[in-house]
Amino acid sequence: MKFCAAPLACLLLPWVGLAAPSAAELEFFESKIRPVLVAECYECHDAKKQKAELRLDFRDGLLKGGENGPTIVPGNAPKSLLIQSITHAHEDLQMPKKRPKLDAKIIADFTAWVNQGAPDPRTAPPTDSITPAWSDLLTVRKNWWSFQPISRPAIPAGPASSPIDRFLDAKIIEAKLTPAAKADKATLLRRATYTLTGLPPTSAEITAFETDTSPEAYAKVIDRLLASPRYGEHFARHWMDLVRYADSHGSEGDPSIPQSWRYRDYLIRAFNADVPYDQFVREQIAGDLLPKPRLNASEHLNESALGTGHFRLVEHGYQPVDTLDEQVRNVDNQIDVVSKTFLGLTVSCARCHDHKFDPISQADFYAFYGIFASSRPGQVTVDSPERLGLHQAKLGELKQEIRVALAAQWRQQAQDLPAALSRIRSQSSERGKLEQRVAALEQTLAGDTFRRRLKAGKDAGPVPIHWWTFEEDGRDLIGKLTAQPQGGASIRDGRLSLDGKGAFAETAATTENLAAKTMEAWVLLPTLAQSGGGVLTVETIGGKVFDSIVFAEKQPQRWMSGSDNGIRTQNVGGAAEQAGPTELVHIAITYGNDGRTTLYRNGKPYGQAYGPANATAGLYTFAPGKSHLLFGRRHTGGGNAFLQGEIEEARLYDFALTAEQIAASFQTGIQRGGIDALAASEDALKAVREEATRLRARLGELKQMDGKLVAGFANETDPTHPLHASGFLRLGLRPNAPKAAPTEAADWDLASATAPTWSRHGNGMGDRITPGEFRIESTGRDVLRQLLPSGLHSHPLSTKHSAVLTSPRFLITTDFVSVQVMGRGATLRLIPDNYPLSPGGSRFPKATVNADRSTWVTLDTAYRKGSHGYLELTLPDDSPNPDGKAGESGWFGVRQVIFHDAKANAPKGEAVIVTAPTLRTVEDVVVALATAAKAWGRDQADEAQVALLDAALRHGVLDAGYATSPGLTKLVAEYRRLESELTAPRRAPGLWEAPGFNQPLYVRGDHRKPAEPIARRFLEILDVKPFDPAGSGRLELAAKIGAADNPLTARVMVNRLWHHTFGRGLVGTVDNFGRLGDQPTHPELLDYLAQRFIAERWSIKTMLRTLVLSDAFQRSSTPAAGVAARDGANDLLSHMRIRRLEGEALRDSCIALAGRLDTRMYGPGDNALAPPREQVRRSVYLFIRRNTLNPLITTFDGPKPFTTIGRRDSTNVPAQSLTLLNDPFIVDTARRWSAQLDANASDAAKVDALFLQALGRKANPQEHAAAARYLTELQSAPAAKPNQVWSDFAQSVLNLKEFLYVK
Amino acid sequence: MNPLSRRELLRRCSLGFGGIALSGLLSSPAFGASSPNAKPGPKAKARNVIFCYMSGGVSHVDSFDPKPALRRLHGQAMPVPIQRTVFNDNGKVMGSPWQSKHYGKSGLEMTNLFPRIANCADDLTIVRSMTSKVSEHAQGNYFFHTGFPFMGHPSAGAWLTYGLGSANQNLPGFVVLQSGGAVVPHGGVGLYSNGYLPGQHQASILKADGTLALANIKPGEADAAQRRRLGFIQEVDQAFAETTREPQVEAAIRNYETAYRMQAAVPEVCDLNGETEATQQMYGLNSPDKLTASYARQALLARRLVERGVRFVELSCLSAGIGAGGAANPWDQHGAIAKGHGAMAHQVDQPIAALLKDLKQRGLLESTIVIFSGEFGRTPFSQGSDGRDHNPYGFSLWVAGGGFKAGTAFGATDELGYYAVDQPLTVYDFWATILHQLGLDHEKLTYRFGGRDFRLTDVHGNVIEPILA
Repeated sequence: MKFCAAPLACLLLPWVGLAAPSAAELEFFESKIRPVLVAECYECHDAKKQKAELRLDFRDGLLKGGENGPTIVPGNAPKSLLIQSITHAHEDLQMPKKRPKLDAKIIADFTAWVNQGAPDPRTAPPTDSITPAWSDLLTVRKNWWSFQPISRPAIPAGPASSPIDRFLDAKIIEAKLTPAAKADKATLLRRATYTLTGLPPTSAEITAFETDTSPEAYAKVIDRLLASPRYGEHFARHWMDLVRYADSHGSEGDPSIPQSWRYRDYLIRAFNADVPYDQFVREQIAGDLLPKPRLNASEHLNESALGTGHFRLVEHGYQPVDTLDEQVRNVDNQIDVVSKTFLGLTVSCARCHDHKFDPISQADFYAFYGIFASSRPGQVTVDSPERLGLHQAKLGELKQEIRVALAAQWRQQAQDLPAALSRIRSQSSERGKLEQRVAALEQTLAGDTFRRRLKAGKDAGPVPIHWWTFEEDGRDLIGKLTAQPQGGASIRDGRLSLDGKGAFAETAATTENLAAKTMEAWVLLPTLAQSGGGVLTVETIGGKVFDSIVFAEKQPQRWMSGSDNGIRTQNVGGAAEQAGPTELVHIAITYGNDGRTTLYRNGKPYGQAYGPANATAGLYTFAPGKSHLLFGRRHTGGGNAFLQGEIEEARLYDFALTAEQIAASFQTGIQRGGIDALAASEDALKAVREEATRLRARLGELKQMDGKLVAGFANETDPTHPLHASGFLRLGLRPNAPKAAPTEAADWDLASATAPTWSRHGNGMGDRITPGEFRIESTGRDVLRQLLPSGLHSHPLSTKHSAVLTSPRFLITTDFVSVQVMGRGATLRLIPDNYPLSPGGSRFPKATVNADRSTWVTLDTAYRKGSHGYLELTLPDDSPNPDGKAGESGWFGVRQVIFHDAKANAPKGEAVIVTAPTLRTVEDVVVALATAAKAWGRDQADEAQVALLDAALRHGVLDAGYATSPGLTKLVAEYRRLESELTAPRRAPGLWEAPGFNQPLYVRGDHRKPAEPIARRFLEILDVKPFDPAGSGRLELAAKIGAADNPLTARVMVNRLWHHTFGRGLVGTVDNFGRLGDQPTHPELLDYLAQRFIAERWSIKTMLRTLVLSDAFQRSSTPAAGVAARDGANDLLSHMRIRRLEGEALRDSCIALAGRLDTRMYGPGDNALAPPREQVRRSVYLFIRRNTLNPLITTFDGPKPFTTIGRRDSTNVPAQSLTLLNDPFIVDTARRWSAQLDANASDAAKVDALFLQALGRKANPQEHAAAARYLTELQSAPAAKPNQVWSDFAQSVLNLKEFLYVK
Repeated sequence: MNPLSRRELLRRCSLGFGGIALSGLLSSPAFGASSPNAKPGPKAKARNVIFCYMSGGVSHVDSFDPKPALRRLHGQAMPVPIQRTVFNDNGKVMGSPWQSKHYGKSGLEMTNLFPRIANCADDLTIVRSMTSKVSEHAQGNYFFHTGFPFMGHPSAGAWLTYGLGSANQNLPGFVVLQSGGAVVPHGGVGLYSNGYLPGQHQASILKADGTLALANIKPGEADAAQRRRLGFIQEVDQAFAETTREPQVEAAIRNYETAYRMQAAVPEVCDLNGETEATQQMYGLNSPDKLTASYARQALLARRLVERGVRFVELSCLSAGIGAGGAANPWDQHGAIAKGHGAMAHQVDQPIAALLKDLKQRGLLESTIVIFSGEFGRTPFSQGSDGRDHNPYGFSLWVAGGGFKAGTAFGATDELGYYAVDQPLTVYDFWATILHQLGLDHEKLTYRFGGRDFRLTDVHGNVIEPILA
């Protein structure tokens, strides 16, 4: 047997045994055939293993074959078992076994080879297995179709005008199928509207399209839809599926991702603006690094910088013990999402080993790993450069001028010092007495206030948060919001008197959130013939939003709850006011948490209470610091806003009082807030106040002269005082020896060359390291508060800026890290392995930085030894895991870092160590200060001089007030004016670029087994060149992915657009273009579209327009006869595919049908679990909390945000039917929807109206008949009310499959 | 899942909706798409699983893996190095407050923390060498439920219904029970997710004591009204199905029949009033311990569900509010473990012991696997003075019924109960074994998602043959 095959072959094929294969044949075999045999066949058919007794590792093995006979018939591919098995034409043998089918190109190569006679140089059988090298595998795998350059296929001939249809029709004709007829207009409009916007067409849009008989009618609709903002919302949602968008990190605690919604808004704007896709791609990978970012002029945003937000949307474990394990998981997920989303590849599969089927090596995975892990999770500053740089240059110049002027002032003050000291001495006696007397008076007055407050607290009934009795003045008995009379208002006889012409009182900004509340006042109206005045008002400063007790604005003599544009105002139908000119009226309004507003007059409800009229009329929350109160004025900026009358008393509560409480308050009356009878008599008290005022003024005069020096002098026991020890003999800048061991030099000294290795982020991170930096105060009498030592300092121009400082990445090898920092409201953290959520404690070391002077802070890092980490300094708005409240300003600076093992070695004491000058006399002090001031004025002061000036400033020896110098006053005013025009930049989740590092490959994916580091680069199949080692490599990766010659990016995206348009991609597995994915049904069409997409400047809208204008998209979904049998899966698209609405589209449609769709765009997400009546924006705006997803959307296959999901499931589960049958949201939708029906219309007309809105068409006769029967049943039910009948009917329409599906 | 013929649909329409429901019941025996790769083989020993999940982590050294050495060394420093713990507040070796002894004919050694379960010793197979690879709750919960320590993957119950299909068309195949203050463990509802498997495999959360047992299960209208509604819907839908000839539309129409039947079936199964006084007493429905009484309802309902063919039932503990054990992690006694574990054990001991007895006397235990486990164990040394921190390096679980070798213990931790040293097992091994008993090959029960064939056991897992009967 052994010899049979070969001689037979000899007879048939003259070359066998006669001559070796030709050079060309050899080349073909070596490049196309051998690698495939090695990669795909040897595993089971070689020297070691012979499945089916077959060897394929040498020529005769192939010719002889195995138990199924010879493997090839040289010269006859169709008859060759090998070809039959790899084409899957054979009944039983489908090779390679348990693997996806080989690429069509490889099959073609084998066919050609066999037909050529199968020239094969492998004459000798190997004695052992040949394990394919990765390079061999790569050679084979790079043949896969999706890695080939995008071709420019010829467009087939045909009558259709769209090339798309020519490609499709060619195959339809070839398969002898009949294409379906064109869909009717109603179907087409509904299909196009859902496809492009995710919403149903409105009745008006349906009518407009039906009546437009022009040939361009359909194209006009498409252009309208693509121009609609709803388009961007819909396609942004598609993109959110790809990047596992969520607003929280999941796991225990499910913490929110700060400002995550900005990335969502970015997507919406990007799709609406039709940003070229290659640009969009680059922004997603490295938008923060693009040399020419894409700017949004109207929003003053750097759009590109928002693109990297998706990297931060990872699921984070809760306080992981092993943060490296956590990082591997996160980066793996980032690689998974990026490679699937943009490239349609599963690079993540190569974490533990080379990819099983695709040309992706394990090294590729770690090349990507290094890129992503080199960047740090952070909040990036996303304002436009123009806004971030606003006034920066001018402020810098002014700051320099101020420095010069202030230095001159200080030199003068230094000269004046001897005179000032003697003046202080001479006045010290009078000042002492005055201070004593004023203190006594203050105590008396405070006691009085205290008694009043106490009385209020003890009274029965609720305590207001603010309470004005206007006894002597506008003081607030409970809080601190004094009512300050303006415009001629006065307080007399215990009342606030208002002239109705411009008099009012106002308070400083509120300090609490005011949502639910009660406003209450006793008021006297000298005339009822007035209109529009407010009694008590809460408004946002400026008056844009307000709630107010208003008299007679809309109806004569009626009280009302005034509000901005009347949005929360309704006519309550209260009785006309009849009070006489001396009669006090008690008026109160409560604003409940549920949005209900109730008015009361003299303790009784006034008219009808009411709830919000619409979704936007709910309770408004007045934010602290941004709101204040008015008395006698409806709101700032309103016409006819002033009240003529007197306010006896007013109270504000931060909750809605009950009717009983209001009644009780009215009964108890105003005396509740009166002066306690035990207090001093009115006259005596008045005298006390007057004396106190007089004495304070005199004291002020005295203090004015020598400023803080007086206070500093009183405190000269402080060893750091420049005039220490009363004899002015010594200046002690170094009173305590530092406790740090003198040998313990700083490991990192930011006052020296190590500073540049730290990464600075934001527009307010300074880069100077020399001593003498300072910050100009934005308010108050002083130019500045302190001079800063050497080091890196944040916010040199304004605390409104953003600033983050991160250290170099280091291996944690010591038990402690001590950092010399200063700052206010800042947080210093150790970030282990890029894990950005840190609760603190010994496992996640961090410290709050609140120190005006440089201070050592020691972090206990023992628990994290062995991890890589970096130090991070942030303020709350810049932190991915803020400790403080959003909007809290502050600053920080850092000078040195010491790594040490013993806690006792933690440095303590004075952080800035300089040699103290020897100053023996006041004159010495004068000279030293003057010299230092002069040097500082030239920005040449050394560390000791800055320290001296700072100490002098701290103790009042020098004064940084500007008032005495007109020049300085002007400069500071100008500086402050410009600074006040700055706005705090907006931040969004993103990445902070940092110096890059190469990630070691983990053996078998085990992060405890690092091997050699892998250079950061793109996938080796596409480009092996390592990236520039300096940065993370994201910018280069962005260029590679977004390149037009990348064979994947354009194909993957047009296929996604095809998927969204036709219901299934040309490649069904939209996220996987590898060997485990589907192969394209129309490869030429895919390439045609991909190259056209690139040629049309990667315009998504243009591509979508092309797709939906094709005949194929406009076909009916009813297949022609015979299609079902021959093309059951509708691969050839002879008819349109039916699709179920996505969960969001279903929910949005319901809200729209109910007439409640709020098209307000953007901003923080709405609570996804709140009752549906409260959330009437589109579903894309729901807050996606990973641990509690919206049940309705989830039930209808909304994606779980964990990885790229480009193709959603469309399941049929009972929970869907139960939802549509019984869910309160659906029932509520039906009720509201049916309530809008024209009550006078006939039943048939009503049925048509509902059908039209839900299905885009009217009911047909059969449906009318069925509806009539059903309605008769509904109407004949006992106690059937017309509302209920139509609500029931409408709900049934919502349950129709035609509503749930787009045909 | 053959599409209904058009004629058949028309015929059903003429009967009105109730008629359809009835005819639907009579047809389509295997409701629910199941795995094409893995069909339960003839070797299946069990059909159902009841999973008593002890969220928060039960201390194995205080329950099923007693360690005399801990008493001996009580108060001394740990003789071996301590791994990083979640709270990093590590104290001395802490002996168990509970007494251990040998129970049953099999003589299995346990403490008296669960006295009634201990008395079922001869029905238990204790595994003392479990390990986890994560030591925090959410990841631990995900890992135990899905084989991956993060969200997105199908829960074991979902894999099971996917592999086996449903035996009852009117009830969901995968049910999670809650009662009282029980909530989803840390990690959220994703723990019960179908992941990338088809949607019908997602768990339904049933309240064992609530009026609304399942979201949207209660119609807002009378049955007659709903049938009229469904009749109208069906009539219009039928014409739509005719024009589209689309199987998924037909499936959606049939879906309403299932939903309609579920509306009756779910309240029926949740109504425990029909159970005898003796049964109710045995489970502890009337226990003065409110937590016991509440958990007892879950246990009893679990039996009723299994009786009706529900494949996978998971029970949820209630929090006793002691020692960091919150609603989502009731067993998490980082402090006051004696008091906390005592209260938690009292909650579940009687109901679970009753469940074992009840299943046994009804002949259901053979075909039902009862699982008792948390996401990890607890440290042999104290946290602070009187708690225990998380220990993923070694812990215990037990199974009963379903063809396991009863009255045995398998594997062991070291002398201190710190590390699994004899036959260490992973969650993959555990689920591979459970699937095996259900007749499913864990390597073949796969689902392709995003270019990869995924399994409950990832790329790991071996069936633990020695514990099989």
